[in-house]
Parts: sequence; structure tokens; C-alpha cells
Amino acid sequence: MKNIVAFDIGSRLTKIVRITPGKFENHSLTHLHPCKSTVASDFPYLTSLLRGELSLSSNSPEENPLRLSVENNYFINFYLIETSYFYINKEKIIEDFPNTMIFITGYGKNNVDFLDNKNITYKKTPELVAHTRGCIYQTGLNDFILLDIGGQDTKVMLCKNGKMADFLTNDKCAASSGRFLENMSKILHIDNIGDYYKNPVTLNSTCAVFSESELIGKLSEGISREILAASVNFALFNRVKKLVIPFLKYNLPLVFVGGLSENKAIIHFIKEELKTNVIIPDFHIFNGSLGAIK
Amino acid sequence: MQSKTQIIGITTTVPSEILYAANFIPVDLNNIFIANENPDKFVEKAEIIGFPGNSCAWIKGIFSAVKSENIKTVIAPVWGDCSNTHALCEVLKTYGINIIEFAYPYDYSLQKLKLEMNFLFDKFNINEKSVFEWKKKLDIIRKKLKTLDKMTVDGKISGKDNHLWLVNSSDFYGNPEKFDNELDEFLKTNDNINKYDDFKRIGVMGVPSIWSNFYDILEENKAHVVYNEVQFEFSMIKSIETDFYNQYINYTYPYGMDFRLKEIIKQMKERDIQGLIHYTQCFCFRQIEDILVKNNINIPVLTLEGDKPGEVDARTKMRIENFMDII
Repeated sequence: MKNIVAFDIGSRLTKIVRITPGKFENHSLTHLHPCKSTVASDFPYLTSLLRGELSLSSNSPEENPLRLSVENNYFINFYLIETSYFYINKEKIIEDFPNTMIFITGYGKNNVDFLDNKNITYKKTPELVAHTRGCIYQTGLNDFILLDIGGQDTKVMLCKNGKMADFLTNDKCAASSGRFLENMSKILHIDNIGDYYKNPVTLNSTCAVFSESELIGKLSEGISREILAASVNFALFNRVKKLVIPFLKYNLPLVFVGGLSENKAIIHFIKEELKTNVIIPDFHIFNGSLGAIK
Repeated sequence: MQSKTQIIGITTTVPSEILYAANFIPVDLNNIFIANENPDKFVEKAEIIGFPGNSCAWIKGIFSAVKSENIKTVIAPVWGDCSNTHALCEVLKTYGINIIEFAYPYDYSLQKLKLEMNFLFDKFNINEKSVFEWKKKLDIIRKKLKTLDKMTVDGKISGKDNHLWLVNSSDFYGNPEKFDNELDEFLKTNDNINKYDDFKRIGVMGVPSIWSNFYDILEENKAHVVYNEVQFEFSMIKSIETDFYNQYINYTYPYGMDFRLKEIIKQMKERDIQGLIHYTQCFCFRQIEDILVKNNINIPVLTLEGDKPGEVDARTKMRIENFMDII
């Protein structure tokens, strides 16, 4: 049986998932060290996926690369690396995966080709399709709204009957993304900005760069860093909600993935302001990589 | 009628019959801007003299096109196109450019349109008859463009070529005879084979995109553009049978969205379109009109937003790719 590896090449970080059969062993590779490892059997939907039991795959069982033998246990390793590092070392990184079926998604997928290397088999998936599928794999849901807030952008997808039916993405500006929070954290000298959600004040600016000037102004007015941290989260939430609200009419569960699904403040505002429950899958950062596998 | 042929810049479609009858060589300033090797330099030059960064790149490109081509006279629709044109004209005047203002009537009145046309007849000292003569001449070319458009729908001509030929018919290169000959040549060399059988049929509405490789990216994603809305309107090919005045009343682009959408929906049906892309320019009032598009079109709509000239950005590519997956 072949090993499986999936890359979600984001604009800043590349998220890699590697699935191998067998027992636990040291899964550090020459160029990669896992940030998380697990056995698939702890996660029922992933196990079903790996055994090719999920009906969502349109492939016939023979064609399905994931049709693994039921007896095997599968070990899953997760790797998180800088995309710039991935680009520089991609040939070497790929060499770490012999006899492997490779799946690629994300912004960077069009920058990666291994056409010269006949030993490598790979398949590319559009990013939003991968995210929708990753969510199905992880939650078993077929109808949901998927919110992905990443380092550079925000996407909201509507999934009906196991297929992406519509999507919205943020404006060109990175003001609705993790990048915005990161820049603001630097100004506020706060590391864990996502912990703050109490008593936010309004930050008016549409543009992330204008917001920085506004934030510095508020600091000089004597407003506490904690309140301003909450305000920054609230400002981000207010941008993101414009993409989510159009889909709320479908009354479907809201699944939240991407780097910012670890941000407590954003989750708090979604629950409080949008009066909706939020599902955060176990591998929210790796949702796209998992969904690239088909 | 003026005796010596003189170049006249146009900021969008202005009745070319009138300009040719008045012995002008019309030059579509948008085409000068975007066809230049370095259109971004045009934008930069305009920003250096004070055009805001957060204003439309087409307006900035037009401004610099007037300067680079040393154009002395510009005719600009100040009604029925972009509201920024007003300010552009005022700035151009301070640079000594002779501005002729023209208006497509906001209330879509044939009577008012006739008055506007007659104002131009008097201004250029020409008569109606000579304008009608030019319509006959240009309609011969438009008939060929109509064939080209039909061939696009039939999958024999690419969406990109359709775009280029139709958009260039706003001024016929300033030389209808040359345009006609090149069009004959193009149609003659076409192999008449349907190349887009396995492609999805897409319509693109909105002003022509500012990206150099927009149509290439669409083709890479198996999208065949069978309808370039504004370019189709520029070409006037649906008004070959109508009289001169009604041709410019049938022309949807300068009038309200209600009228424009009716035509779009009609064309979408006729061309069996599966998905519609609404191209909007950053900072343009037409971004607001997108609400009306989304509310009135009942097939998947993807709204794209272009800013500066150059290639399609990664984010837009990602959106196109995923849109093609849902239709």
C-alpha cells in the first residue's frame, strides 16, 4: 500500500499531513519534524475515510487511493512549516516521501510541479473544495457553513449535500485575516491577543494600515492594552461577520477552521453576536490538507 | 466640416459615426493605456501629479494616455459613464486640453439623446445625412463582428479574441478600413472547429478587465467566455437593423442597471450561459451595482475586483478556480 502525503501550501505556512500504515515509530524526516502525531483510529470519520467507507468519494473502490486495508492501523503525522522554507527545499522534502501518493492544495499549488520527476504521482485540488471536503472528513456533516480564517485571508463556504454550493472571500486587503491580528499584537506588545474579548471599543478603520494609526492614537489616549486587544479582535470579527451573515439564513452548523479558530475572542464573538454554535474540528489547521486527499 | 483630419480622444463609447463624419480620427484612450507595454507607468504618472491611490486605475490611465499621445481634444460622456470622468475632464482642462462634453440622457429619453447628437452635429458643422452614411459604412464591419460573436457562441472563436475585436470596435483603430481588412483576414484564417466542447460556458459582464491574462486564466480553468457584455454593447452589433438614434438608445451601458440587466438576462438565455462573472474596478461606483446583479441573476455569479494593470493575482485565480468547480 502506498503512503499518503498532502500539502496545503498557504501564503505563509504550509500544512502537511502524512498518513502511513503500521506502528508508531519516529516520524521525523530529514527535513520535517511533526508538530503533532496521532493514530487515525481515535477519529472515527478519518478512519472511515481511510478505509474508503465514506460515501462522499465518487471514485469506485478500486480507484480510491484511500482504500486501505481494514486490518491496518494508520499513523498520521502533521507538519507545519514556513511556505518560503517549503519552496526552497521542496525537491528534498519530496524525496522524503518515496512510494507516496501526493495531494496538493492551497494558494501555492500552482507554483509546485514535479513534472520532471517521473517517480512522483500527485494530484491537485482547488483550495475551497479541499476545505469543504476536509470538513466533511472531520465532522461527518454534509450540510454546513465553513469559516476559514487564515494568515492572509478569510473564506466562507456553503456546503450542501456534500458539495460546495457557494462561497465568499474577504476584500483584497488582509484586514480580515490573522496578519491583521499579528501586526496589532506587535503594536500592543501582547502575545496572546486571542484571549481578550471584554469591553471592546470601536475601531473604525476599514483598512488594516489605517487601523494601526488608529490603535496608536487610542493607546496615547490611555486606553488599556487589554481593552484594545479585545477591540482588535472585535474589529476583525466585524469584518468577518459580513461574510458569514449572508449564509446564516440556511440555519446550518457553523464549522470554524484555520489558524484563527484557536482565537477564543473570535469564537466568543461569533457565539454571542451571531447567536450560533461553532464546531471546531480536531485538526482545524490541517483541514485543507486533509481535504486535498481524494 | 473640418478640413484637416485631427485626432480626438474618447473616454468611452461616443457615436463613432459622428466623429468619422466630422473627419476626426477617434482614439479610445482606454486602449492606448492598456495596450501600452508599461500601463502601470501610466497610473504612476497620474498619481505623481495627485490622482489618489484609492481611485480608479482606468481614469489615471486615461489621463496619462492623453499626455503621452499628445492629444489636444477629448470627447467625454459626462453622463452615462463614470462619475470620475467629470473630475478627470476638469483636470485635463487645466492642462490645456480641449474637452467636449457629451451626455447619454440619464432618463433614457430618445428626444434628449437627439438633442445631444444635434449639439455635436452643430459643434462639428456636419449634417445628419453624413452621419447616416457613416452608420451604413460601419454597419458593414459590424455585420462581420456579429458573425464573429456568433462563432464565439458556437465555440469556434476564443473569448479573448471576441473581447479584443469587440472592444476595439469602440474606435475601429481610428481607421475603419484597416480594421475591416484585418477582421476579414482573421475570419478567413479561422479553422471553424469547435474547440470548447468540454468547457463551461461563461459570461463576463462589467467594464473590460484591467488584467493582461484574464482570458488565459479563464481558459486554463476550462471556462469559455461566450458573452463579453460591455464589449458586445460597444460593438453595436445588435443595432445593425435599427436607425442611428435608436442604436444609441439600445446601447445599455450608459443607462440604468434595470435596463442593462434585462439585456444581460436575455443574452444569457440565448447563449446558454452556466455562470456569470461580474468584473468590477476597484473604487468604482459599479461595485455598488453588484448588489443588483446578485439579486437579479439566478445562476452562479462570481464578482471579481481588479485594481492595477498586470496579471491576475493569486487570490483572484483561487476564486476563479473554485467558482468553476461549483457551476
